[in-house]
This record gives sequence, structure tokens and C-alpha cells, in this order.
Amino acid sequence: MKSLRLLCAGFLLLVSVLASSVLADDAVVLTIDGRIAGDTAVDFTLADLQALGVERIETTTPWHDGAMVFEGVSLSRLMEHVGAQGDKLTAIALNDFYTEIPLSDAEAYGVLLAYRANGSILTVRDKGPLFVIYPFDRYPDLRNELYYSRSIWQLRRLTVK
Amino acid sequence: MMDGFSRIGETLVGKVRLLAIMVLGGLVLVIIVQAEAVLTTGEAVNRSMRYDIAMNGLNGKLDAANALERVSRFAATGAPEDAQAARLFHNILLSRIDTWSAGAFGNFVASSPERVALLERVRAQVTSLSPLYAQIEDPGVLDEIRGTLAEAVSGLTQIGGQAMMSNLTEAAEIRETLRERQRFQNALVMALIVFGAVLLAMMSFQARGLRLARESAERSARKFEQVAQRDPLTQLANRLAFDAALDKAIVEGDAGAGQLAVFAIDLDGFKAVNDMLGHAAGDSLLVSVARRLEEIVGGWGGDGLVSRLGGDEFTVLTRVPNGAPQAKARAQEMIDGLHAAHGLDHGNIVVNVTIGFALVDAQTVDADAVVQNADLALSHAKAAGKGRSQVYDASMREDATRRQLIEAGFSCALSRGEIVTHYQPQVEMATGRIVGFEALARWRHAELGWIPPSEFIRIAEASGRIAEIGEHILRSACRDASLLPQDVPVSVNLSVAQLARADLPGRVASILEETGLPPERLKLEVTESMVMSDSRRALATLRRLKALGVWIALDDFGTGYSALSYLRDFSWDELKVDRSFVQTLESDAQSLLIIRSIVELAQRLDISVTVEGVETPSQCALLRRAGCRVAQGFYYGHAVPAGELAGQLLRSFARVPLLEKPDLLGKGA
Repeated sequence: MKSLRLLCAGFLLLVSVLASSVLADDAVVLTIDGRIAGDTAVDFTLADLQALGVERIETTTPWHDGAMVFEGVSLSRLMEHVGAQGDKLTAIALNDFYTEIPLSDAEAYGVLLAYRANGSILTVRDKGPLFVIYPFDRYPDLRNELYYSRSIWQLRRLTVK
Repeated sequence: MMDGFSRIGETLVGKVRLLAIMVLGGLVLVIIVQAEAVLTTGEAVNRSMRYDIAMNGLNGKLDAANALERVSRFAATGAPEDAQAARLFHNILLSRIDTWSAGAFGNFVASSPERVALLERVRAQVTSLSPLYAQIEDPGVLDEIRGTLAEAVSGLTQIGGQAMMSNLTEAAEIRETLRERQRFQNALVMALIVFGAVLLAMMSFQARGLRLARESAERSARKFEQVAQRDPLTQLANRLAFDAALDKAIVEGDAGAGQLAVFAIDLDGFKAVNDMLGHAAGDSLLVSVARRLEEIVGGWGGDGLVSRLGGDEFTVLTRVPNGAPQAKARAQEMIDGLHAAHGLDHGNIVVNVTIGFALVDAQTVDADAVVQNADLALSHAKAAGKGRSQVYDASMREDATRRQLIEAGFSCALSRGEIVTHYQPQVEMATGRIVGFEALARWRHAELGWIPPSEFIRIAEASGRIAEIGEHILRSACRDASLLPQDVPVSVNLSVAQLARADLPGRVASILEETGLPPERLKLEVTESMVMSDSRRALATLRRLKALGVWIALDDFGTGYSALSYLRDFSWDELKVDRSFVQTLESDAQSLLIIRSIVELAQRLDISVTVEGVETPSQCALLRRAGCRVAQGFYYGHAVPAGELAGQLLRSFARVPLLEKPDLLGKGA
């Protein structure tokens, strides 16, 4: 019996772990505020983002072995969608990591807010749910500390300034 | 010397060129090295820009600390959202450990086996916590999580610290590399500057070389110009410079400074100075004359030009505000100035100069014509007597033109027979019979009419045609004489040019043979001056002529030196007393005495005598009384053409009985 109880407990644990790592469909993954249309913060679920169209970047990064195929929403498309007025973004991650991204990068390099890598949805453990991706292979000039630092993962909030 | 300079210049330029090529090569090399250095530096800079593992390490340490802190917070509050946050940060920590295992950070970890082992241990610890997070509300589990997490945080902090250290070391290496590169590049820049400076220096050196070469070329060009325009002996302007100056002065016109005057100056007896004192003395004299002329001309003010055209010919070009009289005065000034003794190393020399001058007037625009005019005036001055000056006048040009016409006409005259032989009778005064004729050349020019023999003979002598004319006269005289009814002799004058020819006796012999005239009927007349110039040779030729049987007469006797030695050295057949004695016979008692003495002397030497220029009966009477037998002159008849000779001859013979035939040979008078 004891072993059965243990087994049951193990099953429950597995379910809860799965529940904690896989977000619910209506969970907010991104909040955008600052100088945007309406001046009120806008929340996005994964479905909202997917509704804005899928873009794709294939590139290597300093954090992965081998080339990766990222899919997500185009940052410039997203900015257009929220009616961004500023010239830079401050980006904050789940662990409060902070970085700044010039808005011009979005247009110039086709920066992506990736939610899928190599076909799989990004979890927190995979640096999801949103990972800012620059096309490092297409523009070798981007392969430096500055752009690496802008490539924030586990992105949670964007503020247009 | 100039050649040497240019050769040195060439080698110098060649060396500089080689150096310049070497320096340029060096420059290119330095630039290549510099480019390579810049590339290497760029690489170092790129490396410094590459992914910074320190950041990842630091954030990893934070993630670990956060995970621990969230668990502790939940332990304190027990709030469900803190439990949620603890689970989120657990996942974030797991994600970090994944990040450290891949990519650039993965490479860093892999570089040390201990680090790999440490990370694997931490990964195992943190992963093992995942099921426990589901039961985080259980205090026992919570303690276990905190215990294990604290150990894991320690390991993560260690790896994060190592990453930072590694990054610092690498940064230091990169800095050192960059610093080295910088030093190297500084050295290269110095090298570039040095090469550039050397190149600049060489360029300026070469430019200097070129400038020097150009200056040298200009100098030599100036020198050549000077040489070309200077008479090397006297340093006076030469003909070229004189002509240029004259042309220029003529073009400039009067300009109020007065008429242009050209003086042609000739030293009298310069040849004698050269012959007697040597060429060095002659040259010294020319230099002295040059200096004195410059002094005199300089004294006139203005821009007079003294030049030497060659030999002893000098010219002076000057302006005379007061025209011809002033030019004349200046000519005299030069004559007087140059007449003062020239003190030379060889002693004092006094020279006379003769000057011809011409003025440039409105009609004269031709420089050559002005110089010719001055020369013509000089010729006239010389002819009129040396040591004087003569201004050009238009008649001189006419004379010159006539002279040219005469000179050009000789060839035609001989071929067309314009030059003919006329004969003047020689008469035995006692009987009036003709005892001979003197052949005289007469020329009736197609344009100029009769030309006096004195004129054309002189021109023929000067132009070298006299020998031809002389032979023509000799041949016609021999032929005409051979056709005469009486066996009278004919006298023919020889020219110095004929006498100088060694084949003269042969030519005379062939003419005699050709015409059939017996040699004893030909008298050849020579003057004392002709014999004087080369008496040994001349006398030898005369002896050979005499050997043919021809008579030889000494013409114009009594003038010149009348050296009696000639009477001893050659056995003359006849003396012809100069007409000057006859002309002064009536006025000057001395003349008569001289003629008497000559006749007596000739008689003793067994030489016959003929007097020339008898024009009056009283002269005739005086001469007869002086013992003269044969005479010639207008009193007895002018020269006539050959056709009239026979008649004259017969008429003269008709006066006396034929039995009293004159002594045709005229000997033993």
C-alpha cells in the first residue's frame, strides 16, 4: 500500500509540475506600456501574439549549440499594432533582467519576439515564453556584446519610451 | 667640361631615382604591414566584443540567489503566490543551468573537467528538487529544498566567479594585445613618416639637381651666345653681333639721336707688321687698336658699337646728330687717335688707318647696303692714298657697278672678240720709219663702249683674268705681225700672272709655231716690279724665253727702284724709258740728263733704248739730241687696228730709199 501511495503521490507531482511549466492559454505572456496608443498598458496572450502573424529567423546564438529556427511575432509589427510613439524600448524579464532596445532595431534587422524554437513552444526553462532574437547570422555585425545584451529572454514587459 | 657636368648630373639623377624606388618600395611594405596590423588589431577588438561570459556568470549567480530567496520568502509567508514565484525561479534557475551547458558558456565550462563535474553536480541537485517543489507546502520538503538549493547556489556562485575571473584574464590579454598593436602601429607610423621625409628630401634634392642642371644649361647657352657674338681675340662684337646691332638700329630709326653712321676701318700696312714682327705682335696690335677704338667711341657718349669683322677690318657703328660733317670729324678723330704709338711687348708700333664711312639715310633701309657703302668708301679712300677718311657717295656705287659689269663681261668679251689688239708704232726718229709696234689691248664693251685699258687691265688683274687676256693679246699680236709686209717686230706686255706660270716659255713657243712668227720678231715687255716679287724665278723664266730667241724688254724703266743690279743679272734686249721723263723733258733739265745717262748706260751694256710718250716735236728734238733713236707716242701715232698696219708701214718706208733699210733689230744704234 505504501508503494501505491507513493506512486499516487508521484503521479500528482508530475501533473502539478506539468501544470506549472505549461501555461494556460489565457495566461498573459507580455505587457506593453509607455508611449503607445491609448496610453494604457496592453496585455498579450500567446494567442494574441500568434494572431499578429508568424515570422521566422534561422540563426546561431551564443547560448545554443548549432543553428536554431525561431518563430514568433515581428517586433516592428507588434509596435505598429500598439501604436508605439517612442524611439526606444525598455525590456524586463521574469527574473527582472533589464535591457534597452532602440526601436530602430526592429525595422533595421527584423527583430523577432520568438515563442517557438525548432518547432516547440518555448517554456520558461527554454528561455520562454518570449525570447528577443536578432538575425545574428544574417548580420555578422550584430555578433557582439551590445546586441547579445539586447537579446533578452524570458521577456515579460516592454515599455515604449 | 660642360659634358662632364651633365654626365655627373646624369649619374646623380640615376642614383636618386634608384633611391626613390627603394624608398617607395619601403613605403609600400610599411603600408602592407600597417594594413595587416590594423586587421590583427581589429581581430583583438572583435574578440573583446564577443559574448561576455562574465555577464552570464553574474546573472547565473543572481538567479541562484533569487531561487533561494524566493524559497525563503515562501517559508516566511506561506503565501500561494510566493510558492508560485519560488517555482518560477526554480525553472529560471534550471534554464540558466541549461544555458551554462550550451553555447559560449558551455565551451567555457568544458575547458575545465572540474568545472564540468561541478556543473553536473549542481544540475543533478537542482533537477532533483523539481518534484520537491510540488510539495513545497510541506515544511520537511521546504527544508530539504533550502538545504540542497544552498549547496547548489554555492556551486553556481563558484562557476559564476570563475567565469568572471576568466573574463577578466581574457580582457587583460586583449588589452595587452591592443597595447602591443598600438606600439607596433606607432612604430609603423614613425617609419612611414621617416620614409615620407626621406622621399620629400630626395624630391627636393632632385629638384635642386634639376635646377642646377637647368642653370648650368642656361649658363652654357649664354656663354655660347657670347662666344657666337664675340671676336675671340679682341672681345669686340663680331660680324654677327654687328649685323644684328645695325639691323636693330635701322629698325629703331632716327629717334632724335641722330643719323646712323657706319665706319669701315682698315689698318694700313698690317700685313707688314704680321710679316716682320710675327703674328703674336699682329694680334697684340689688333687688341690695342680695339681698346683704343672702344676708348674713342666711348668718349662720344651714346651707344656706339665697335666690332671686328676679321683680319684688320674694324667697324664702328654710332649715331651722329650733326650728320656727315660730324661723321667726318669722328673719322679723323679715330685716325689721329689710332696713329699715336701702340706700346706693345714687341716695342712701339705706329699705324695709319684708312676709314670709309657711310650714313644711313631715309632711303637706306638695307643694313648690307650700308656696310657695302662704307666698304666702297674705304676702297676709294685707300685708292686715293692711305691714312685718310672718305665718305661714301652714290658715284662710288656706280663705279662698283661698272666694275662688276666689267668683271662679269670678261668671258663674253674674249669669246665674242670684243677685246681686240691695237698697235702703236715705234718709229726711228731720224728717218720717221716704223721699226716696230707695241700691241695694246682695247675693249669695246657692248654696253659701256670703249673701256680704258688702265681700267679693265687693273680689274682683270684683280679678278685673275689677266693671264687669259694676256695670252689672247699675245696670240693675236703674233698672228697680226706675221701677216705684215715688212719684218718689223711686235712688242707685247706680259702680266705678272703670266710670268708666274712656269709653262710660259712653252706656251710662247707654241704660239710662235702656231702663227709662224719668227721668235726674233717678238718682244716681251716686263716691268721691274714684276721681276722684283720673285726675281730668281722670274729671271729664270725670262732666260728660258730669251733662249727661244724672243727679245726681252724692261718696261717703265726709270721708275720704281730702278735697281741697276737687274741690268747686271739679266741681259735685257731693250729698255723702255718711262713716259714720265719725257713729259717733264721740257720743264725739267734733270729729266733730259737722266735720259741721256740711261741711253749712254744702255749703249755701253749693248741694250737698245725706246722712249715712250713722245707727243711734241720739241720733245722729239730734245730726245734725238740726247741720243735716243727709237720713240713711241702720239706724236708718231695712236694705236690702230691691225688692218691699218700694213698701210702705215708702207707709207713710212716710202719716205726713205729702200736701200736704206732700217736696222730692224734696233741694235748697235
